[in-house]
Amino acid sequence: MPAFDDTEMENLVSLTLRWGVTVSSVFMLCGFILYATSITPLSPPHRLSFEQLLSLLTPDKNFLQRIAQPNIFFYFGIIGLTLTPILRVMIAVFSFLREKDWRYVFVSTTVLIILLLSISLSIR
Amino acid sequence: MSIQSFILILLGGGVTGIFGALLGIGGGVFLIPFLVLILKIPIHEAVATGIIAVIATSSAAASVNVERRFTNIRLGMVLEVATTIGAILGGVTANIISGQALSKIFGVVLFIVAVLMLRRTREKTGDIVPIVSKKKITGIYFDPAINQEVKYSVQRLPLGLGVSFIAGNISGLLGIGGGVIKVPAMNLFCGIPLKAATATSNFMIGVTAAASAFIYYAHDRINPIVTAAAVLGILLGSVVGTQLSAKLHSRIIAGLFAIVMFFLAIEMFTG
Repeated sequence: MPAFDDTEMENLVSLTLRWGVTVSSVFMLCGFILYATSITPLSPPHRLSFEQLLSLLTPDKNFLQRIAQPNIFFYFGIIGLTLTPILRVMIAVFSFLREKDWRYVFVSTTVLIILLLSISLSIR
Repeated sequence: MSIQSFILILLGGGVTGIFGALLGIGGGVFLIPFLVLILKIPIHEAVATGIIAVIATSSAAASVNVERRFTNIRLGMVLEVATTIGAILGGVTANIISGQALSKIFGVVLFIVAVLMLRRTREKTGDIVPIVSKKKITGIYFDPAINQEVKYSVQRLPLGLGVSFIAGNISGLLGIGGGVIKVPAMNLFCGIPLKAATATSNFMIGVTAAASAFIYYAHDRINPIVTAAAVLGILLGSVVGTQLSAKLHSRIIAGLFAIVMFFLAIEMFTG
């Protein structure tokens, strides 16, 4: 079993997880700051669907004003956290491909397909 | 929701994060009863919060464990096939059944977790003697505690897959990590040393939880404010807890918290 590249994969996986958690936490923290300084408190909390979130991201002249809302930052943090483990499975697929370890390319691709199926069925 | 409630959830998340790290279990087993019993948040929303919190703590801890080379990424990947399928089924089931039924199931599982934890405090500390065999998934890591390399092969993989499926199912259904079931099974049945079993189980938890997170999102169960407050709190708490765990006697704490868990289990079951 080729193992020469495993250290590289481990470093990349570790880095992905650390950055995923850090960036998501920063988003949530920004949301909290906006929330704490906001004149109009969020009550009840606004729920946003994927479509609504995506439509808010269309760049135009009101872009900054539109996204500078606590809830949007909370959602960015939550989605960022959820995507972090999925990203690390993608990195595993890519690393096993580079190592030509076909058995594990198959295993990790299966996990990735299951995850993507769960997402696609949920947001349909 | 007021800023006071946000801070209360943040603090609650912090405390559950500390205890979770001290006991070596995810904070979900405390976070969910806290949200349901004290803050009166609907259980489906509390479970969704638990799932996102579990992704956060698992990813944060896994980044350190992978770097230390305790994690067996290949084994984790194989078992994740079972945990993710289990988690999706669990997530779908949770969103079909009533809050009352979900609360009762949570109570029963919490009771079992408490029993497992109480047993852990009575057992002698000891690890299995690893077996190395050809044509099996093997792992190797350097254990600084004994100052030598540990090599092992995974035994009874189908059994490991079965336990992983159940753990994934519980994760998707109840928003807890499921490590408390996976770690002893991986250690005792599959011959994986404790350090590797704990790190690999924790590594899998993030992916497992991510598999069911979108189901909760689609069912509008994610309350963004509650989730953000709990995640920030639990992340900070687990950092503090990890620092404290080196200084405190974990057996006594585990015994005390097993008793707290029994009470929480009864409250969740009857509530």
